[in-house]
Amino acid sequence: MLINYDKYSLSIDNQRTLIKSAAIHYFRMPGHDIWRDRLSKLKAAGYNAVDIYFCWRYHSPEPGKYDFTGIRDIRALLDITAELGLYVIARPGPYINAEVSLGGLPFWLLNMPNINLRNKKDGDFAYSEIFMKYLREWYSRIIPILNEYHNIIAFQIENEYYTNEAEPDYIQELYDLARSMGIKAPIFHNDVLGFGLYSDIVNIYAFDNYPSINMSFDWREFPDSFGVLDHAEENLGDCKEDAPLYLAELQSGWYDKWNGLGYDYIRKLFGREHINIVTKTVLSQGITMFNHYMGCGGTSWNQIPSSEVYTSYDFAALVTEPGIPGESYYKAKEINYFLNAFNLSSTDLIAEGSDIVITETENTFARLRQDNLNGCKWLFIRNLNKESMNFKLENGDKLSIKPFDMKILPVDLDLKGCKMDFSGMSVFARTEYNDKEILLMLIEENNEVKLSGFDSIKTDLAAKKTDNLAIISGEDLKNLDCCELIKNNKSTKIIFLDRDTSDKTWVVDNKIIVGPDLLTDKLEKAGFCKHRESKTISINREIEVNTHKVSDPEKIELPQLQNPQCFRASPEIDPAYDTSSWNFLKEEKFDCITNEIYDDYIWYKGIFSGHIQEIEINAKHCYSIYLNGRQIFHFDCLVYQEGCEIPEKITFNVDKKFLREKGPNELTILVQNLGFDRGFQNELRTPRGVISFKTFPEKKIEWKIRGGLTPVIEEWTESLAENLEEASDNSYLKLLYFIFEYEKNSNIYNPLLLDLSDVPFEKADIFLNGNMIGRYWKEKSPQVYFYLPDGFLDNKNIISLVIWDIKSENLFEKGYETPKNYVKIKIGNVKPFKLIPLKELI
Amino acid sequence: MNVLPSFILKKIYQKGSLKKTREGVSFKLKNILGPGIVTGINFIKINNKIYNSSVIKIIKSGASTVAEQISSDNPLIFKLNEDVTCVIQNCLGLQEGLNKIMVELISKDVGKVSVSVSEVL
Repeated sequence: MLINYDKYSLSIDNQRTLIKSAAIHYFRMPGHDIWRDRLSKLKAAGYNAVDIYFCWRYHSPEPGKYDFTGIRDIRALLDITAELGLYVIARPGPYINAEVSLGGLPFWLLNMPNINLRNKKDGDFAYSEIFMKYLREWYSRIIPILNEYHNIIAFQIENEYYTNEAEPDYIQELYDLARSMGIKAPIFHNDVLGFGLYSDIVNIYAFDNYPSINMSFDWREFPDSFGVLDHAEENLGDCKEDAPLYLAELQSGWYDKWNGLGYDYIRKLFGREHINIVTKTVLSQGITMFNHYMGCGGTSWNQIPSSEVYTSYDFAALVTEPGIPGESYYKAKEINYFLNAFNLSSTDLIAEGSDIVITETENTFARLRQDNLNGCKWLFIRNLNKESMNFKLENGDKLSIKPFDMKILPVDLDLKGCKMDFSGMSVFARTEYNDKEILLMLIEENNEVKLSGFDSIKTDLAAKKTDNLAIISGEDLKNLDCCELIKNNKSTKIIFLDRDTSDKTWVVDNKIIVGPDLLTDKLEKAGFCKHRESKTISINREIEVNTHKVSDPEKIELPQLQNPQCFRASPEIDPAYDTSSWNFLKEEKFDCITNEIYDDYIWYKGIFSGHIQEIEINAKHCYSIYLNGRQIFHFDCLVYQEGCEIPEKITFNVDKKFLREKGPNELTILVQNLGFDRGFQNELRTPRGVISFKTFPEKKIEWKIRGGLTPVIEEWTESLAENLEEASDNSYLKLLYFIFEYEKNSNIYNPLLLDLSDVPFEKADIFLNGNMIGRYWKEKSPQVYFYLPDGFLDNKNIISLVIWDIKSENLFEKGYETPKNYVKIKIGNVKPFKLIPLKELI
Repeated sequence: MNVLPSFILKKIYQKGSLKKTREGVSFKLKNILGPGIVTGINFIKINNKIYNSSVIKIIKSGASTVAEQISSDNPLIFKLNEDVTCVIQNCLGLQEGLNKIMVELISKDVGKVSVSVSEVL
């Protein structure tokens, strides 16, 4: 693939190409079928590229070891992108942020002596040869794989990097390294500050922009939020004079956090409007490369998440975590289809503001760009007011825009059968064949389309017609109304769609399919959530219309969770538990980094003589302390203030009744590590586990340490149940265990969810066939439904919950012998979609 | 707290703007980063002396606001490329030579932000 670029756009194989990309996290979507489904959905929405972070830690469990097999087989992922004809924007870090633990760096890097992660220390540049050594190793593994693929159109080095004085050395070395390893594609860095940083090193200057990141505020109240985008061409356009400006992360959602508002809320907050405004504003700046972040939601399973986020990484993305297109998906599809209809990859600003709009008012925005490829002009016009606005243009045309809406409207657009002088209604899509074309347009009330230059017009519409001019008003239009205009034996057929119909309208291989809710499986299958008539409009020598009646999806029988079994799961709490295989603390320090223990759970055990009155502890994140097998304290230390992690050192009194009068006393501490920081605002190297511990009076305690919970480290399938039951009398952690069977049906898209909306406990980790797919925590997270990722489902499945109610008042005691009577866990679904081969509809 | 890198701070602070005035001391900041919504100004520190928001005045587009009136309900909209003048009333803390200034404010989006700069008089 030949990739060139100039100030306007990329040219791929000598074709100017507007890059419409959306981001996925393959590591949050375990399973090749999920990759195929999600990438197909992005392709169906008109994207021509996909942005992929490659997560170093996901592939490297220890130094020198790399895993690119199974769910980590990125060749399989890249094969799917190639089969779908998607370009790839490759972002292998080393740092990726992405709200993943340690920003995607391997945990083992923390063990390296004197390492400065990312060549940075306290914000200053601090070159680290040991970091570079391992980084070279990562690049030497990932880049040869990327080099096997010809659809890589851009390559990112580092991510959101800066130091106090913006030293260029590290970024320059990464650039040289990538080139020396054979990267041919243009190289960029993603500048989080939007400040032109490192633009003299890279080929393409890229920045990210999130106008709305505080979900407590409604973006509609702050029309100035889009200021960076409004001035991007002016402020950043010259960062690289010979290359296009790239919006490497353009907001299409936002992540929710512990104590957050939930994704239902965030989706409503963004609605369809936000993605419309940001994307069209970007296009108004002449930007021809954008990447919607995120395209698809995902699941932060196992140790993927940073400590800030809970399991669902739905992100209010275009496609939800379980793979259902959301409102913003359909809006993005509408914009992409327009961009596929008219290539806007070379435009120049010719007027703005009051030079275009006579009635310009506050919170409105207008720009007019000359299209160098299509020979027309495009009006970009926006209304951020709470009321609809009527605009009168300098040339006398009028239009109306709804609240918080933005449009891209054609001016003097030559079509095959006529000229579109102006349209206040938006173009949705176009298909063409030789001298014929079909133009799909959106019905937008209080707006008109002005057509001229035709020889004849065929229509039943109430168009105002004169000899050579037709004006069609939105008020006169019904869904699927059409007209045909002919000039010199060339024809343009215009079909008008209402919004609901446009959502269900797809363009595949120059065919228009009206009806499906989604397309999947390499666009070979159409999904319907209920019965509907589907229409296919093909344009060849003639325009042909086929209809097909689709019935409701068959009734689905969801797997039943029956006969749960419940076992005690924390024998480590018991006094005199055998710790002979445990390690002593290194350097008398408790933290996980010093002790090189990176499990979710860390156990500490120590013995002392005599009495203690107080304990002072600082630990991350949730912990319980047991004295002689009895819980004496619990706490969760998950405190963030405006994104910054707050330490909490706690002192508490020890109740004398738990102390043994004679003989040794045994302390056990269990700490749950919810992940490392992602290293955006905080330092990457933030210790976990117990960070400090003291008793008063101070006792000499020889501590031992071990990572992992018994049911996890002894492997689910072999050491369950009876052994555990016999192992302990304590009741602090419980293992709840279900077996269910599930038969996949390739004719239905039916993502499954585990429903914990009605359970009597506060906190549990959920495992599907041994993979931790959810952290349920009633008090801290709005998530009660947990997606069962398709890649982890088998015919016979085990769902296990490790229940840890750290609040003693909630101890999971009552009725524990008969959990089925009160543990109401069930498998649910979002909604099923009947899948029909697309060829049957055409 | 969000601490901005030095190279950005040098550009936010308008070099040469620090001066003694009849009211006290003033200096200028320019928003080069992006649209900001300031929901509070906690304090300004000049050479280790802290001035709280009741004695700080923000002048933007000719309009003056006492910093203690800035809140979530009454935010200060700080547009991209816009200048503000910060006035610390009755401040006598400037000295010949190096002066260290720190502004701690609260941004709607990123929380506490600290802007630390220095200027030689």
